[in-house]
Amino acid sequence: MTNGDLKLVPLKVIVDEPVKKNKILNRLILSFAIIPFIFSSACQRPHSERSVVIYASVDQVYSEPILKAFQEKTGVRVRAVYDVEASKTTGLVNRLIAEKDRPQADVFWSGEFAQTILLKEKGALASYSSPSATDIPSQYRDPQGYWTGYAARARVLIVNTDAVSPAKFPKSIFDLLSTRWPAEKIGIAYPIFGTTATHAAALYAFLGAKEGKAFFENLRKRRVRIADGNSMVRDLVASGQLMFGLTDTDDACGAKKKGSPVAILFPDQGEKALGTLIIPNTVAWVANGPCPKEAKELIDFLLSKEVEKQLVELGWCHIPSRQLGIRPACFDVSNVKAMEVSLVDVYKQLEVAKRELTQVFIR
Amino acid sequence: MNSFTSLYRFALLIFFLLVFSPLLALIMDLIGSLFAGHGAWLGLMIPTGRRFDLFIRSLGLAVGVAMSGMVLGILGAIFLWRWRTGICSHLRWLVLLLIVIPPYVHALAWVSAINGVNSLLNAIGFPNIPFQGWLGSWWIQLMALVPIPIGLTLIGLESVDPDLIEAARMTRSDIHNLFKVILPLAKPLILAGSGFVFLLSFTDYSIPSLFHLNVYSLESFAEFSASSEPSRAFLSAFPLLLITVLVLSASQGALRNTALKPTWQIHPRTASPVWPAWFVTLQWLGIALVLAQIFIPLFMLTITVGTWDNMVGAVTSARSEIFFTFWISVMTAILCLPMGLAAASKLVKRDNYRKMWWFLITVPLAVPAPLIGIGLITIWNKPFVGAVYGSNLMPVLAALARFTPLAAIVLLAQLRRIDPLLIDAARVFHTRQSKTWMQIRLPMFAPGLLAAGFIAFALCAGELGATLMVAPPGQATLTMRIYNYLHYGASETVAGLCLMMIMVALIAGVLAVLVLQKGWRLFPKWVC
Repeated sequence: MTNGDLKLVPLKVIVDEPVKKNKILNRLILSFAIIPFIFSSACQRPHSERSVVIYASVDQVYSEPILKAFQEKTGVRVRAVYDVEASKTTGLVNRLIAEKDRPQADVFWSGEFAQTILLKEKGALASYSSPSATDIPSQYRDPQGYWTGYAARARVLIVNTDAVSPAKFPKSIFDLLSTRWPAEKIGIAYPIFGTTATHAAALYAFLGAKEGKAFFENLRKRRVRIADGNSMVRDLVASGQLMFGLTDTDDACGAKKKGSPVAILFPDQGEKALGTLIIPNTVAWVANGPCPKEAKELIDFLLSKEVEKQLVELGWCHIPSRQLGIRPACFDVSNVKAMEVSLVDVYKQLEVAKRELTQVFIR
Repeated sequence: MNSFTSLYRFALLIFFLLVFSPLLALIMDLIGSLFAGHGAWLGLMIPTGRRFDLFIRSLGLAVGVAMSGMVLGILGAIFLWRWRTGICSHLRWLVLLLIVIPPYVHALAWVSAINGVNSLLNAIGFPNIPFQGWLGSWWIQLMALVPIPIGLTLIGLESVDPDLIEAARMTRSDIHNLFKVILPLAKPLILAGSGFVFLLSFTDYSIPSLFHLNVYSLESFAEFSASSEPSRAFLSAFPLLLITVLVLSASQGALRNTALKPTWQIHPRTASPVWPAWFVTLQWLGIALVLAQIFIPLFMLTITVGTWDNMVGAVTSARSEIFFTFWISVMTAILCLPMGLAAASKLVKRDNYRKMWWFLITVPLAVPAPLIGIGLITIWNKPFVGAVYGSNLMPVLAALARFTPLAAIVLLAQLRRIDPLLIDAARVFHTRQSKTWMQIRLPMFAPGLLAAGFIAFALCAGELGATLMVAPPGQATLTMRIYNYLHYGASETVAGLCLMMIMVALIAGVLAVLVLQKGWRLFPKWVC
């Protein structure tokens, strides 16, 4: 091979092949560009099939069987997106807000109420008064019909019975501040996320913002254990690493069902006590959702007595909003004293409580 | 302009569209907020007081995890480096697969193990190991992330030309050559590994919060949770973003290109290196930690699953999630490579724009995952691209937006090691660019492509924050399901699904190794 050959070969490539190569290139680029559309169109459901999209922050293990039952009953395909506790309240609610101008979801089913009220404030919900909800007490319903609450959970103290004798069981959330128990042996979840944040906002609403904040500042000063979530509080108590902690009824009941040595107590039940926070599930219609007819069908189904009963039987909720004729498996709820605070008042305190408690606890 | 230059430019264009469009959407939202009278929000960009303390703590933790990861990575990789023949030469790469074990599984396994040790210590009158706070967070993050530095260091060591080592051995001891020749030659990949560990530790809040250590990234999440304003969360994450750019730029920016040979052209050394006793002891210590990293989670997972029926039950109940996760992870691993390569080719150039490219490519790495999801919704939830939004492609786009920059940096580390003279020679002798590509470039890039593809696969499989925001209704990933069961307390199901995840990664890893070992020898024959 000579030097002349070495120079001529690349020149030949440049002169003879560009047209042919550009054709190949154009095809490659075109193929690459249409891949997304091929995949996306291949994934769509047939248009003839009736379907409904629900965003659910009710735990998947409880909500999935109910949605399947709806699907079997009506033939409407339910496509769900389930939230996870680990997203720390930044998941589906923010997705709904971001999708507000072109919603993908039809129904929002929440395990609590504050985020649903936030969605109403952000204009992401539409009004719908379900016929299934006529017998639900008015304090659980939005006056304009933007959301309906039912199937409540409650905040409870979960106590390790190997570590604490019944005579010494705590009775109040204020026992979290008592020096009778070592601080490192009692715990709560971060009061800036999830239902613990809602509980904090409720205390702000009930006690006043100053006193509510002082309660949590004292918890911080005591250096009680701050766990990553309510389920972790449950696990720490069940394993004996904590003597007691504050969590939700569903978490506590799960530990009891698994045979862990725990007792579940509703705090502050005395005559003059503040009562415990009751946290209803909420169902709401997403404004301008793509399938309004199916959305209403699903909302009616979810708010029905049968579903509320099923939620109690499954162990997700323990304080039904109306007479269902059944008793929750884990504990007697017939005389539970609820904290007398309106859901909207709790919501109004939520942002300020989260902001202040972020400064208290994340440091 | 030739066709391959056009392809590079096209891939680069797609890179910018996919990676930067969510970021641009966030910036537009931010500008809108500032013009709407929220100028005071800019104060969130500067951490002061309590936030400054959190920031310094996060920085300390991430530096600690990255430095110890680098040391453990070097010790582990040097140990594995000696296995160059037989089945062990393949098995050693499985260490990289362990990156798919979610960090919380490491946390659960190690906490159980430490509790057992503490019980024993108490029984003989010793105090507990204080496995909380900084110590617990550092250890778990190190154990969860150490496969990255080990794997990348091993690739770096494998690529060192043995002729250079043999030449050095003529005059100096092996331990001297290790520090003066071998490690400097493998430095780009070593630093890339520790840079990634730094990044992943710095932006993670989940493990520190499990161990009651508050870090700065939790502050960003708390901000987003309290305000539901992406702009505020974005501004709050700005210090993370700045440090990430600086660290990754520093880890790769000042290095010179070094020569290498493709792994399969390197023959085993004529004689095994002779290390001093202290170094052998350190290696054994390193490998003991690596084995603990592997076997403690596997052992605890197996124990927790309990029976084969539990395992089958867990897997059967999550069939669709397993397939969906595998699908989006494979798509991400494949699609990120051409874009990553195009971006890496910009980083490797030593021109006036290099710093700008570094800035552009590393910025998206520190943006909190849910914000990437919000940005994607803003971009894709539009009528004219409605077919894509709500489809199975959205989680792939989310993973590409998050992890393609990482793939670019792994590929940059590989590109740095390629002798440009080889490419120039190929250009001269080959008549077709495709032939140069298949016979010269691709084999040279292969280890980097494989490592980048696998890291993207593993990170995509474990992604949660952005996927949750854009997952198509009716579909969920395995990670989403695992987190749901974790909350429910179904530990045997969680353990079964985690074992399944490891198996999926194992299959992907074995396939990748097979392609590397067999495919390259066959591929050029029919293509060229």
